Amino acid sequence: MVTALICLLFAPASSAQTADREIVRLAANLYQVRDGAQHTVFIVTADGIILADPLGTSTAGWLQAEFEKRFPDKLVRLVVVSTDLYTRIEGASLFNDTAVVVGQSKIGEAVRRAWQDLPGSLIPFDRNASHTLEPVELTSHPGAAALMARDRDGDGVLRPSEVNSSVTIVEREFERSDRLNANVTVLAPAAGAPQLSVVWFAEERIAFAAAIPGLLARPVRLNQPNATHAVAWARAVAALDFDVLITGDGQRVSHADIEALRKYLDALFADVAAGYEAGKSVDQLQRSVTLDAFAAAPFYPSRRAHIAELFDGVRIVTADLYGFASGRYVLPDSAYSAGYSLSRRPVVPVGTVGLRVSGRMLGLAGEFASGPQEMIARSSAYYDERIAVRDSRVSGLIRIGGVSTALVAGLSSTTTDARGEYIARATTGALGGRHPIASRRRGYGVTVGGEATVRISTNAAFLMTLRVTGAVSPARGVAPVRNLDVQVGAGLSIRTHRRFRTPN
Amino acid sequence: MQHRLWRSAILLLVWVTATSCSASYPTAPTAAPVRLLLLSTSSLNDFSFNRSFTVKVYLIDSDGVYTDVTNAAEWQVSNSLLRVTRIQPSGSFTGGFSVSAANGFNESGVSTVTAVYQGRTDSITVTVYPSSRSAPRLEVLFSGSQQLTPGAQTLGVSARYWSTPGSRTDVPASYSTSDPGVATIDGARITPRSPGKFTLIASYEGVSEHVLMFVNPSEKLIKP
Repeated sequence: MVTALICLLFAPASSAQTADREIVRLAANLYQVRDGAQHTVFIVTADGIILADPLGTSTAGWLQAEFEKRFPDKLVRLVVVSTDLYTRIEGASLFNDTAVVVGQSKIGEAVRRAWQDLPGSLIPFDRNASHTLEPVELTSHPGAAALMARDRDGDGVLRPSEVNSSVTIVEREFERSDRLNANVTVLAPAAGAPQLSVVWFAEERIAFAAAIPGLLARPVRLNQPNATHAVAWARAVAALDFDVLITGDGQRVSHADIEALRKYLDALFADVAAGYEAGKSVDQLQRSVTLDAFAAAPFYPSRRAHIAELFDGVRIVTADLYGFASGRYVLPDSAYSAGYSLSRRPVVPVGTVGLRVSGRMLGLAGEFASGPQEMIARSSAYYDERIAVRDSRVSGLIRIGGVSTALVAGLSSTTTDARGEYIARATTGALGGRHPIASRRRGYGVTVGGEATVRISTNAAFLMTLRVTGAVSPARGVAPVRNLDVQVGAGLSIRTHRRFRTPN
Repeated sequence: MQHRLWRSAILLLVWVTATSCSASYPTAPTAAPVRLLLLSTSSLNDFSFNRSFTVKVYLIDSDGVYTDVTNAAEWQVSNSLLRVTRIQPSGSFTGGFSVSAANGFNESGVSTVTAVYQGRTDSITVTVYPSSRSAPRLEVLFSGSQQLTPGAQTLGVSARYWSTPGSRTDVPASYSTSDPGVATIDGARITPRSPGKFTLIASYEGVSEHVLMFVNPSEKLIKP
């Protein structure tokens, strides 16, 4: 009764469309549903019916009647929402009594957005585009009286929240594949893109996708909704074992076509990503990425547009663990050596390890630098001092630049630890003689520098570095004050993480 | 492979952090061996004028560090010309010993004062002059305290020539020291170099005067 009422309320005005529906058997238990230009599928299992997108409430009502007629002992147990288009999922409200409606997490957001507007079947009646329906606008609607009965606040105006069906969707964060039963699997090929979910019927070797990310258009448009989503989608779907993929608009795409596209996109994406990471421009990539092996493919003529679309969509995040050995020259502390004869090496070796997380041009790095201790001796007629000094430095740096060269700048904290002894001569009492020295002080400074990288393999690079640290608040212990030091070094960088992300 | 890489990196980081933050000095300070005993006192040039002087004795190690062992030392005098008297501590003064003429200054001669400590000895030879000395002779005068210490100010010297016991004239004498390692002299200024004894020699027209002087160790840390 309720179903009939809802069907009546949201039935399209044209009765011709009502007749333009059919159910076609694809395999023993798998069926394709068509309502006008909208398509979906369902499968009849021992436990009940699993329905992909239920489409609008009108279609869902018709389907429910068909199910009762054709499969009287079967109830709809599961409704899989594979898209965020409300016009394709609003009919799920009819199955809430018997079925669990599942969808990706962002499906809920889509439904909430839809609640802010009228159902698609009523939008043509909203002649003043007010997103509400006044009685005068419903005069031509056959269910006008029943509709106005839903005017809960009695203000004479039907709002979206008053006419939209309530759909309870169990949001589920689909993994790469989420098996609903032994035969039916839902995939979310592109994280964060619920509109790209795929339902795969393994036994029937058929897949269903309400929407394909622009891959079927001619020319192929990758940026609907996002180029990197398109690549991810093609990779995941090509990995499925199926013969035909049916789309929400009824197209049938062979696995071979998807696989060809996947290869093309993989090659294209690899080149664009590498070029993006290397700091090349779109123009440069459009000239250099020719992909001649795919010259005969139907999507090849749009190659330049695809490069631009992928370029716009790609964002890179890399993490590198690196280390370098360097020589550190410390500006002499004239106050420390005044009146003494000083013995120290002008340059000391330093080892640095760091972790860097970078985008294409901007990154953050944390470094720890230390090394062998430096022996410093100073003496005068009455005083001899000999200390072992070790500097340990922690720096937080901002990195600006591309893969090959970059500038770095940030703050550093240097701990200077000194141990040793002094001998005071020509002095009486406790002041004279040999005494131990121990001092540990921390200073703060600003580090600037640069680095050049030469990649020697996919994940390894040769690194040349320059760091100049000026003390803002130097450590003042028994060791010479480090007011300024310059560090030049070379080492290796190992890429531990490299991920291309979509911008949203 | 990636796990091994991460594990190695973390171990490396822990190792670097654990071993590189502190410095270590290879040896702990040890006491330097004793080198000699030094008997020191204020200048003796005016001893003939019926005054006493204090004596100190220091144990010196190979680093050139001085330990005052005056009160622990045994004092000896070679004859009855001089006597050594203990001075009791008073206020900040830690006590010590004073040397004076045993029979006033009616008797002249030479005596040796010796300090003995832990089997080591050091001596000074003291000449006791009569209250009225013969002429011609030189008298050496100082511009300030004769308590010399290394790193302290220089000390100016001048000479007075007595042609007869009643006739004296300030004269430009020439000066030298017996041990430039202890003190040097530039013109008429003495620069103390390191603790020890030295003889300041003043000469004028064939007449010379020898003054036994001391550079005492500093009671402060001496740094440039």
